[in-house]
Amino acid sequence: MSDLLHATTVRRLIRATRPRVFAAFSRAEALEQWFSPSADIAVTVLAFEFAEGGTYRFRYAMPDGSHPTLGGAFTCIEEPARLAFTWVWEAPDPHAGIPTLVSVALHERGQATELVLTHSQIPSEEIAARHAAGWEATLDHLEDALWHGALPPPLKWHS
Amino acid sequence: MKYSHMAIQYHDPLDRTFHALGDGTRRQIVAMLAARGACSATEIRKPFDAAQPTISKHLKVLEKAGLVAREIDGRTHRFRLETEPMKEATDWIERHRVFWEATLARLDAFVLAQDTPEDET
Repeated sequence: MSDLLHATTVRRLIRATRPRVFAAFSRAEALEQWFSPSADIAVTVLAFEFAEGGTYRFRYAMPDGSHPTLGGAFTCIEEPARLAFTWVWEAPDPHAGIPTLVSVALHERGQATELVLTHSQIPSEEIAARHAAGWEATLDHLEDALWHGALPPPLKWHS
Repeated sequence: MKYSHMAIQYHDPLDRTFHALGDGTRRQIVAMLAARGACSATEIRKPFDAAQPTISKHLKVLEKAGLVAREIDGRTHRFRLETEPMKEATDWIERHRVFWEATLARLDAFVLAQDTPEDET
């Protein structure tokens, strides 16, 4: 169900073999060296139990002095092909408390590895049942129309 | 887990947004209001092959989700789009996409720097 609702998927070719890429996720010392969006944002691993059901907690040190913190639990560990973990920001983050799931799949591509990461909100049954494909496109359309000043092209209604 | 209390508190508005947008007719109403600005109930109903109560029900769902606001002018009800609930959702997507793009670039640099000559063979 993680592919339902809005989810963001990022693909990237990583220049190392699958076991090496997987190892970068499985050790706290490794994560502290790369698991942040920028070299000037340090990440501290406060808790890390790399096992299904095990929990983790990370704290970032932002250049502005703030310390966004998040945590979750590992829901799936299949070395070296995939892992998944819940991801919840803590207050006072603007997205605090929203339960989300991060899934990482690693595919062999010669000596490199294709990493496909999907980060999605954990949907409720009701939302999942009512979900219909395509509303993301509606949102894109609206975003263009409303926040970038351009009016959308004439819309067609079903006849 | 320990976040569950906060989760309930914060998740609800997004739940309503996604529920409201999980229906084709409601998405069309939203797109229509985005394109035309405020519309009366009669104008909204026109392109649809649906009875008035059906469209009224859809408008109520959108209103409850905070996606649509109703303005009453005498006997005319006009509806306009409220962008804030959707902005919340799109902000979430954008923030996390940027986060992962940048973080995975660092993963690539990290594993590359770790490479030792014997691994190259």
